[in-house]
Amino acid sequence: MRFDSTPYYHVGEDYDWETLVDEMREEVRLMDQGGFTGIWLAEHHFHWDGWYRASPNPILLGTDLIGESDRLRVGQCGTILPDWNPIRVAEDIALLDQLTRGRVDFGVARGINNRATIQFREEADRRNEEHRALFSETLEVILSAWRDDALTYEGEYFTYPAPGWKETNPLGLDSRFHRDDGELKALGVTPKPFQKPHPPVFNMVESAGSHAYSAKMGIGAMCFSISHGRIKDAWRAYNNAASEAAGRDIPYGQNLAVMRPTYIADTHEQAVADAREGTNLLASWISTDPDKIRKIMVSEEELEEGDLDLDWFDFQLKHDLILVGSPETVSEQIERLESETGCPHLAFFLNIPLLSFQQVMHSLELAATKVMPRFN
Amino acid sequence: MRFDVTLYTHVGEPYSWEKLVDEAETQVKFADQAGFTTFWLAEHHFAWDGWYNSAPNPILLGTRLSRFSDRLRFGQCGVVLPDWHPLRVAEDVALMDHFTKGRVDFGIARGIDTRASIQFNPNADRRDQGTNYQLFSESLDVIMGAWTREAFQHEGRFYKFPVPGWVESNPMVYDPDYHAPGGELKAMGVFPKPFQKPHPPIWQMADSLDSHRFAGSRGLGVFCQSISIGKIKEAWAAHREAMSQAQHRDVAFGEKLCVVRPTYVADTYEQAIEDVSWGSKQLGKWYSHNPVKAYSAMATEDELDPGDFDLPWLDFQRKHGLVCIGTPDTVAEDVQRLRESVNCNHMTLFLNFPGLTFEKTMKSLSLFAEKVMPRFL
Repeated sequence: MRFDSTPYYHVGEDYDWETLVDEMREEVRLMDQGGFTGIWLAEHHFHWDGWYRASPNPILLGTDLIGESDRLRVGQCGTILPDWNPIRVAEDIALLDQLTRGRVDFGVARGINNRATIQFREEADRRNEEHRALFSETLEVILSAWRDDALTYEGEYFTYPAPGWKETNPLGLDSRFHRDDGELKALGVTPKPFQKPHPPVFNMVESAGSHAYSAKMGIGAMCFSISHGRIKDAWRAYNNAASEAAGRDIPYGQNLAVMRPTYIADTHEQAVADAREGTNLLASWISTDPDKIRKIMVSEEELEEGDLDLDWFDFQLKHDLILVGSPETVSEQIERLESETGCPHLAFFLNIPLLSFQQVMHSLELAATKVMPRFN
Repeated sequence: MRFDVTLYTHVGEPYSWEKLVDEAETQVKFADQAGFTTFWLAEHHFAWDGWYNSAPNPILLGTRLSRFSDRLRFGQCGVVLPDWHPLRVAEDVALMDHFTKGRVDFGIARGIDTRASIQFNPNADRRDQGTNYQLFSESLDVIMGAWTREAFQHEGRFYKFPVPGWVESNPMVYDPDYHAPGGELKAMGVFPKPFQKPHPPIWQMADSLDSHRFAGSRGLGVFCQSISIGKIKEAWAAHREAMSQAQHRDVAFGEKLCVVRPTYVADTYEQAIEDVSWGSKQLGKWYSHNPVKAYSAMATEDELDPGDFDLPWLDFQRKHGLVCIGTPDTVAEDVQRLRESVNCNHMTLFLNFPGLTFEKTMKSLSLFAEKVMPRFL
């Protein structure tokens, strides 16, 4: 099984950025030594209140952190496409891919923080349906910019090249890019990625519908907060759509990954004690209606009487939505994930609030020395 | 005297990015050892034909290259503000400032490639100078506000932050400094704040008198590139006057001002001229296909002689001291002239003569570092 991880950002705390940068670098060095394959970095903006603390630019953070390793891959979980100009994403990912000589996993997301998203683009507002079309267009522009030497795109939100540029400098005239009268008709977006035709793409999604959409777009998917039963449904939907799009049978599980909040301590009891409060705190920040979310996370068949009355943390642990425990109990949780869903690729999400850096490092060490070797 | 350097990017030739990345790492390691202060990276887009080869994102490239030196500063020459969302610039430059522990020089520009700029923002079009200038100026307001204010608000011609219409429904994050009663978002905190306090030094890439005045009034430094000593005198006087007035103090002539010069050094003068002559013709063609107009902005009326406008690009540049090309001795004389005439204390080497090999560029840089710089340190 492939193992990846996020760094720890001290979500919910008023935490000093100078220290944070040093800590993240140390975590990445441990991941490099500990046999991890990749790191994943989230995009969150304007965290004046600590919610949701991460870096506003996962591509740029990855550019720094990859300096700690000659072998780790670097991804985004994800680049919030509606918040970006598509050309900038194509350029920046390609540039990072060149600078790392092909170690980028391109992660995309529609965004979960509307407060931030509307600051960048009002059409990206998730309160209207338009944002889905905007996401699709942005992704199409990025993939075309990488694939095509001469890009032309005409959509509802984006048109490339922007009309109205006539080349008057004879040095620049080229029939692939200019009409006879010099009008610019195509753009060459540079650099192209190091990986050909482009880095692997992972869409951060949960629903079966979004999984099928990703398959149709020819990209992978990474889910986060859905149960084993839901994963199976979503991955079957992905697999059917991918096979249909390809016109051949795509192996189940290909290009699919799971990310899970993870915390390991020396004993199960210790881990539960350390992670309970922060897990509950995160939920109360993310939603004011947690019951509704519980039914999205877990399928009807899996939901048992009394589940909705459980403490949020206990609910998560019961349904394997978080990996918390000793090296032994977390290994059992991962074994269940593997046997019940066929999961080939697991990323640890470290950002359970209220943990110390030392606790996080110890958890990562236990993962690397006592959990991951059982699966390799 | 402070010496900075730019990256050689093989302008004008389609060049493999794999090789360019190797070369950039090599050049940074050299600049680190050779005693340069800041390593500057330009922003250029859509270089399908090699024009104008550079990274599309100098913040990202600088973040990577800063890993190859513990002491060099990294700047942008410049971030083309009208092509960016200003909050992204504030966030990204602040992040980079943290990654480098305060080694960022924030360079800004209005853009010289409208073909690229209009792909990002129709208002960045320099065929409408007024709108481009206002967008540039407002973007800078947003960036500086985002860096220096905790609860940030902005309202201008192009941007309003926070964008109206967000009502916070989660009581856990409600804060009277940021939310109106009822929960509407009225201010926002942009993070991280830069490592350098209150923010990194800011340098505008500009040649005109108006831009020098603007920068002076805002307390910004300026990098000029394509203006003669006579023009520099006028521009620097305007900058000094504007900054003195804005800051209520007597600013020294030349404070926060830097001269950029295309520079190439070889063992003999003839060799140097021969090496850059083809590339100079290409540069001349690209910079402008209307040399009269371009030349007239580069030197003062007093400096211009009859027939100057008919000179080839390189000859005009050499005659008016706009390039430093020659042996270590003649280039040192060029630098000395800048020191004596305008008290220049800060010079940046621009290396991109098209058609040079990386080896020739590095040889030139070594000659400058070993045989020219020590005379001014």
